[in-house]
Amino acid sequence: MNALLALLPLLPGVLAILALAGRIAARGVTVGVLVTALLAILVAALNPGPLELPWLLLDTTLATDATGAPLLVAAALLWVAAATSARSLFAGDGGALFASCFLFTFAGNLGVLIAQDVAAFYLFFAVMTFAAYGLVIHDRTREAVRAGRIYLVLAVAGECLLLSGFFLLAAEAGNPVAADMDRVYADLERAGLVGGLFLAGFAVKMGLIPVHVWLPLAHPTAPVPASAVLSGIIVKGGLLGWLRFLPEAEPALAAAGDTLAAVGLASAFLAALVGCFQKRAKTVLAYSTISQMGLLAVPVGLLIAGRGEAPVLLAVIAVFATHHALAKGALFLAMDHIKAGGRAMAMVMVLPALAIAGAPVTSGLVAKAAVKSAVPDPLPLLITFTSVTTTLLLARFLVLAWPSGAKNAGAIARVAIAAWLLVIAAGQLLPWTLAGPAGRAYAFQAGALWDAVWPLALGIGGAVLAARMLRPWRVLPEGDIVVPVERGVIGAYAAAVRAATALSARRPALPQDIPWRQLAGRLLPHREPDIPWVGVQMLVLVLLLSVIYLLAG
Amino acid sequence: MSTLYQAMPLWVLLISLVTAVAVFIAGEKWQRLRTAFNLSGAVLKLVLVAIMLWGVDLGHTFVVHLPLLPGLNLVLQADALALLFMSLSAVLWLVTTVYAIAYLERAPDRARFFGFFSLCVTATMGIAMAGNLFTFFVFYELLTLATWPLVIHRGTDKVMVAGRTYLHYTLGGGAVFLLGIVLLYHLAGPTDFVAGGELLHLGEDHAGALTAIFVLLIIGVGVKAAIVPLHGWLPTAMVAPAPVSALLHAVAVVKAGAFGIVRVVHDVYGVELVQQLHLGTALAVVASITIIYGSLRAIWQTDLKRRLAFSTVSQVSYVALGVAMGSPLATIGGLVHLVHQGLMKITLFFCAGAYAETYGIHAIRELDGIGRRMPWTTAMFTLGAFGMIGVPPLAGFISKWYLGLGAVDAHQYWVIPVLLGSTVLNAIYFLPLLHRAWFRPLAITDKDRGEAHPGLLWPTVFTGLSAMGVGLLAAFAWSPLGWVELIVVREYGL
Repeated sequence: MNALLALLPLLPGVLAILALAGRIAARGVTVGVLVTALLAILVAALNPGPLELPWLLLDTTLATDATGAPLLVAAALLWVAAATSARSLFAGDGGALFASCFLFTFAGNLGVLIAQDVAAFYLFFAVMTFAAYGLVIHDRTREAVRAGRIYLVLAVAGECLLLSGFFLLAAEAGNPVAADMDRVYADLERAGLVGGLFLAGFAVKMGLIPVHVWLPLAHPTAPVPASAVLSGIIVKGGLLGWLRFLPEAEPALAAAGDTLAAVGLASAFLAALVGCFQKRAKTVLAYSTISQMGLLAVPVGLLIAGRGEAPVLLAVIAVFATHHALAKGALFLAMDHIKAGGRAMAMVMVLPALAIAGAPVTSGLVAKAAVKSAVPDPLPLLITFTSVTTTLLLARFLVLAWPSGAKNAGAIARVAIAAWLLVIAAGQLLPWTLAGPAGRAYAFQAGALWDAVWPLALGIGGAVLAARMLRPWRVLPEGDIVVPVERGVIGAYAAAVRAATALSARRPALPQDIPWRQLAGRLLPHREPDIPWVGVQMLVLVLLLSVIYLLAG
Repeated sequence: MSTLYQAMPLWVLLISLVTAVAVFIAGEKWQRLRTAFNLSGAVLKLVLVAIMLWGVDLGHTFVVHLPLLPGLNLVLQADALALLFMSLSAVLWLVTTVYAIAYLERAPDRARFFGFFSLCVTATMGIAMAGNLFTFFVFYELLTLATWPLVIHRGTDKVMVAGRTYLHYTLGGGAVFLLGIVLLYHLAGPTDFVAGGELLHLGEDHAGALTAIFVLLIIGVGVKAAIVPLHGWLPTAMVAPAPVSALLHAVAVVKAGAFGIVRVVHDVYGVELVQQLHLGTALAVVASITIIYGSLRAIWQTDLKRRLAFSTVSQVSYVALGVAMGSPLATIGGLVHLVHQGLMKITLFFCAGAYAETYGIHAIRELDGIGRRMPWTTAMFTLGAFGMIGVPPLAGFISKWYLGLGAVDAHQYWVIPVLLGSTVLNAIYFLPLLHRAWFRPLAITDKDRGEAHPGLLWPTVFTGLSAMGVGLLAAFAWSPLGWVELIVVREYGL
């Protein structure tokens, strides 16, 4: 039964190769994703024991765990929805390449969800990261290529941080599995450094400030289905990395854990505010992802620092991650659907938007309530405040995304709509189920409900007020701090090139005026066939050989 | 064990030599016969090497002493380290022969080419199996002389100049190496390669002399291993035909140099003495400089093969770096890279050759969109490039992993930034190339000739998949990693 685990990354991997060779049609790609997704749901439901493959890579272990299993279901649903609405992208010129990248990213993503040892996780993480480049730059516009370049720069930087962390970890512990991590860190010489490297390395994928800049660039340029999986489930790879390869309640990492929580909270507020001043709906959603992942980093940081009960925090993280994966994925997918479906689709889209804001009855309510119940004071209040900024951000999104008039041309496949609705429905149901009776009861307390309502009201009020007051609406560049940084790097490079050119221009011409060169030229004739010089060298060798003979004799 | 079985090293050597002679005799006319000789020689050698692998695993010893002069023996032996290099060489010889037959389909002077090709492999085998410094030197020089006609195969003026540069460097290096041998014989008498070396007792009294000799020996082999600043010949030698470049970079010349460094450090001086004389760190620093310098230079190359050449300069020094650090884990990383770099780099050169043969692509900017015309070749190129960056599950990842662990193990933490820097630089000069090949619109306007000739494609696919297979199945006992672990266990007496 646990052999099914190996199929999850293997099947889409094989399909990706076939797709690259142009051996499967667009429909085949979708069907392949569907079959793999069903397998993934089956695996999550059966929860088989770990699959150990000692001959693979450096002793591979695949298994589901408390966070991996619900995310596996979310990933399955989201990838199917993305694949059904990406049908047209798999066909035509460049379609095979897109299909291949799509499937490789899928394979890497599923692998990340089930890989338990360091090396295998790194493998799937890398496959996912590099294959997603093909999704980001699919449009080949100047803008997409720039987004892809910045994505790669940050990805490679992240990989380097992870790799150095892995070196330090593995030199003492071999290729450990996630379950042993607490014990491994207890014996580790530089636990603080290793943990810090992992926190920073995976933060790139999670999009924490200040390494978030790839998200607001990559999301608007990537095709809609690609953005949906990127924002919904691929960024969660960073979360799983944190959970698997950092210990719970390790004293050496207390400071690092607190820092993560603080950075997370700062990201939650800042990203939401910057996102309000964007002019494209998908960019706004990207900032929302940064903000929400910042929020998710808070319980993770507390878990690592040992503030709060580990099982409670882990459960909370799983609920929030699943909620965000499905709701955000649905919002991105809606960008295509409202183009074809108009107002009706937009009405449906409001539900996941409200969920992200944490409105009552939605999955956001239980997810945010769960987080608040598990963290110490004054964090619950601060998290409630983030609901205000999130509401502002999503109000901005709805304003931008709302269809202005008649439907555009271009029908959307019925199956794509169905898959999208399924994602939305599951997004509402799954977090409530995961939260358990205690979590549900907590969410429906009067206090929790009130805490969900007033930020929403305040946010909407603030949005209306801002719309009146702040005219004209100012716009910040996408990727905010990346713009000055990029300019600085380009400027520095240009300056370096200028300096190097100036230096070499000032240097006197070398070759002819060195006396020994002329002398050597006269002594050693460099003309074809150049036998004399070779002959001289051979003669030296022969002489040396006879010296050996004399010495040895 | 019969004497015939014990003398296996001699038979392996003779097979390549006889093949070389047979190919010369068959000449230009009898092409079928020549090809048959070539292929059967390569296959036969592969079988013999497999038998020896099995034997060494069981603990059999293979030694042949050929007295050349009184007190001066040609010693051929096959320990686990020798077999690592021999297996690589035997497998890639067969693959490259198939590739070369397709590559040179209509070219002139094929008999000369394949004859020297076999001779070159004979020399490589001799280097692998050399049992003392003198034997090593003899085959080292033979290698120089056998590869020169291959480098200048096309015979144009530019090529002749490159060939001359090649000779100047390698023969000069050989002379320095010989000087080192002479001094060492004078100091310690003729000694065979022994794990751990036999010079430790001289360490106290002759530290200065031993250090000087070590430097001479490393310069001697460092020329072929293209250690900065002795690397100048390598990018120039790119004018050679693609199969030659592939062989030069993956198995023959460059690897012979790297292998020589391993022998000098492990079996002449011994890790302990090298550390005692503080030569390990010095060598590691030189190797690190080479790694970074080679990668930096690669970034600004506009010719595909030149970029790959500078990449080789950088990557081969991983071997020296691993060996120099003096930790078993680092040694594993260095030694296994001997094989891993070979598989990845030969794939990249095969691809470069296939691009050049099929669409006449030499410059990097001409690669735009080639992935559409040649998806399989480009896929293999992608594997090779990602392997060089060190992305799992490719071979380069395993090497880098063990080098990194070794750096921590040996408390040489400064090596980690070097490895990461190399990763970043490799990404900088390989990823834009992959972007061009896959995502840019097609640059070439020739009519669509489709994929490369099958004779060029299949060897490429084989080596590319091998570069992934050895990484994916690294934990398997018969993988290069498994074999290298055996070597290191025997070497360090763990």
